[in-house]
Amino acid sequence: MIKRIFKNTFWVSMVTLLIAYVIIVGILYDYFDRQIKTELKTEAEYIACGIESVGEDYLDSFDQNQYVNDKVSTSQAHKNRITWVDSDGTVLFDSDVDTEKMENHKDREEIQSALKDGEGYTVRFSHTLDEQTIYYAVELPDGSVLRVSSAYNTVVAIIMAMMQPTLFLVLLIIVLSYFMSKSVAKRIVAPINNMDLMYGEMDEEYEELVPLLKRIRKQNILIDEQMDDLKTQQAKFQALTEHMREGFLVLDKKENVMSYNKAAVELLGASKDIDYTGHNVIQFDRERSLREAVDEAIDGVRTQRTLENGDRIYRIVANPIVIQDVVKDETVEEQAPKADTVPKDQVEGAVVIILDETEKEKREQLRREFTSNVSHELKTPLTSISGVAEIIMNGIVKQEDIPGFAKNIYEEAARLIDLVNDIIFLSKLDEDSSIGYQPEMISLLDMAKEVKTRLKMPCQEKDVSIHIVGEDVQMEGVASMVEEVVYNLCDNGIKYNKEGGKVAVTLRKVTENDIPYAAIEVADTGIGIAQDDQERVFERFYRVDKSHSKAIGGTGLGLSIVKHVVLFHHGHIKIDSVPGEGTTITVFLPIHYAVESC
Amino acid sequence: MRNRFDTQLELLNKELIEMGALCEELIRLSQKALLDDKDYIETARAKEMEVDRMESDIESLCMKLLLKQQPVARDLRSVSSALKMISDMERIGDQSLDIIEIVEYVKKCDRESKKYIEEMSNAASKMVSDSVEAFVRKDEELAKEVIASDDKVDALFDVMKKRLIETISKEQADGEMYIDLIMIAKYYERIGDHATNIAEWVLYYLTGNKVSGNKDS
Repeated sequence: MIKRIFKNTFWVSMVTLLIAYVIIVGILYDYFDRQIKTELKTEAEYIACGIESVGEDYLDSFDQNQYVNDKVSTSQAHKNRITWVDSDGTVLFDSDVDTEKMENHKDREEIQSALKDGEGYTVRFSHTLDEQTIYYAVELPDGSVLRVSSAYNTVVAIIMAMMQPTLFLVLLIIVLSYFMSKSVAKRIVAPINNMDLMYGEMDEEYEELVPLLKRIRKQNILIDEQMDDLKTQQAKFQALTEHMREGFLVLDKKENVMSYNKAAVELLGASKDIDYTGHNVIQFDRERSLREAVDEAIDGVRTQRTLENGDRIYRIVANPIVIQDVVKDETVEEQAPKADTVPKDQVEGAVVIILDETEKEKREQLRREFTSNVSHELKTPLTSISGVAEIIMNGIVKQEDIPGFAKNIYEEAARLIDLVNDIIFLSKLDEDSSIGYQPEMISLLDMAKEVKTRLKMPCQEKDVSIHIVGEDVQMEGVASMVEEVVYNLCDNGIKYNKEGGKVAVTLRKVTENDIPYAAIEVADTGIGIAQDDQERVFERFYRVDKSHSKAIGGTGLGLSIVKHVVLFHHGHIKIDSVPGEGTTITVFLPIHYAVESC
Repeated sequence: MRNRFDTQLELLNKELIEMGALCEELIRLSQKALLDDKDYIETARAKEMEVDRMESDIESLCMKLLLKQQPVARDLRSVSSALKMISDMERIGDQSLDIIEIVEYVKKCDRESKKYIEEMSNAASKMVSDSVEAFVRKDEELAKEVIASDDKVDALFDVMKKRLIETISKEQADGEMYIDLIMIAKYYERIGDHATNIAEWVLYYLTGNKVSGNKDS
């Protein structure tokens, strides 16, 4: 802007100068023109007087450059040419040229007009002298014509004469206008530069700029707001994706990564140090299932894939991104959620979500195992009941054997009832467990004694003795549950014991991490559990002896119940076993009941 | 022109990663074949064919790049290292298939040998994965790690060899099975070497220096 203002100012000065110069020269020219004419006239009249009074000889004094005009010679460097022409055009006298050689002058313009009007001016090229000449002719009383002429190159001379000061002036103006226009330009621009485009008062120096300024400010404020909006949205999006546990990838049409979150990096094991934005998804992870899912999504198909990465299982959900025109939107939106495919040319990219399904898959597997176990456990007693009942129904059985078979049926039914009870108990624990249970003070010693009494029969059958030692620990808990724990532990201790073995129940108080626990230790001298199985005995229906043998009985749910009750009370279990020598299971239950459920 | 060249280089990069991923799949398949009884030969053959096809594809892409674009400096290195890498990858694919083809004959071997073979397969597989990963990430450190871990596979092979010699000399064992075992071990050892080569080419691409290491491949 400064440059432009400077340039313009500069040009204006130059053009002004030029115009002024031309006008002045014009005026001066006109002035000198008149001056010359007057001069010529005066001289002609003067000479005419001379001729009249002195006669022809007067002219001779002008000849051969002897003529010196007092008045003119000082101001004009060259002398004027004087010609005397007779009325018939014959040249009688010429101050510069030999008369003999001159032709008839009657046809000359100035002479013609002098003969006609008494006087005449002409400016023309003189053939005689070969230069531009101004002539003044006057008719003398005797009819002859006296002509005075002067070289007419005076205008150029004037210009030439003025050239030097003019050049000096031009230079001066160039220099002056350079500095002035520079400072002027700066002064004009300075307030514009200092304008506050956002806020500030409106009393600007340039009124003309106020509307523009208003608009700019409006737009600036709008842009500011939009930027803020965008930032918030970005922050929201960032917060959303970064805190997702699911991996999240946005890809463009060429399968280049546009955006991704931390979880995606972690789940797929990509490098944290590299920015994958703008790179092909294959650099992020080159697992085939991911690639295939992405390919299909780009082709417009919603897909799901399972990706196994080491021992983790991931579900990959890839959806095409379709950017619809606003106009189209209304019609497409109705079908959009339903359609599993979109036309390929509408796809602008893909969104990939990676879900860690390892836990789910594992649970699913456990559930499947459980279901198959339950059905198996339920089917076995039912099969024998129905089998026995069928034999009796068909009358094959002798009357005296019927009680034996009935006992069979009874036992199997009892087993079924046990099983169903255990399953119900467990499923109650599985549900929101804190509801419906009121904690109370329990005397563990009393409880152990009671359990011992209840287990008298199996004890006698297997010749196993139960010893209860330790202090009488009082604890807060759900009595029916804790009793299940003690019962199941002791029951297992008897069932998996050797003939004549022992079960020792030790009760004591321990403190771990400043929390007082009631420890129930049940040690048997039984067959023990192998190291590999120790982890799994708490699983439902898990049996070390895979034959599901009826000899030992039980539902396979005992330790599972123990585990759940302990978890319910926020306790923990320790298992210690040497195969062939015995097993010690210690259950730690907090003495003070914790309210919140697990 | 330049742009087109860059796109083509990117395509080359992508195809190389894809081929590497395919090799990883193949070697993982060989590991699976060791562990369970399913028949993977057909799948493996199909994959191996794909590896071969990709090799020729990438080769012609490289040739086109070399002839038409006449790359220099780093670009030239990327093309020339790609040319070398694909032949190593192709060998990895081949040897994985070879393993899968004979793996069923060694299913009955003793637990100890199996453990060694598994360890070798894990080590070799990790090397392949890491070398491809080093290429993907253009990671100098990881490439060096791969080169260093080649010794581990070599050492495992030596142990395996000694063990087998002992076993064969001690008892009247099934000779064919042990030869197959040693073959598999050798294949894994070779795969390790090829992975090392890939890592070396990655290093060459990154630094411009050819690591003169592995003598025998």
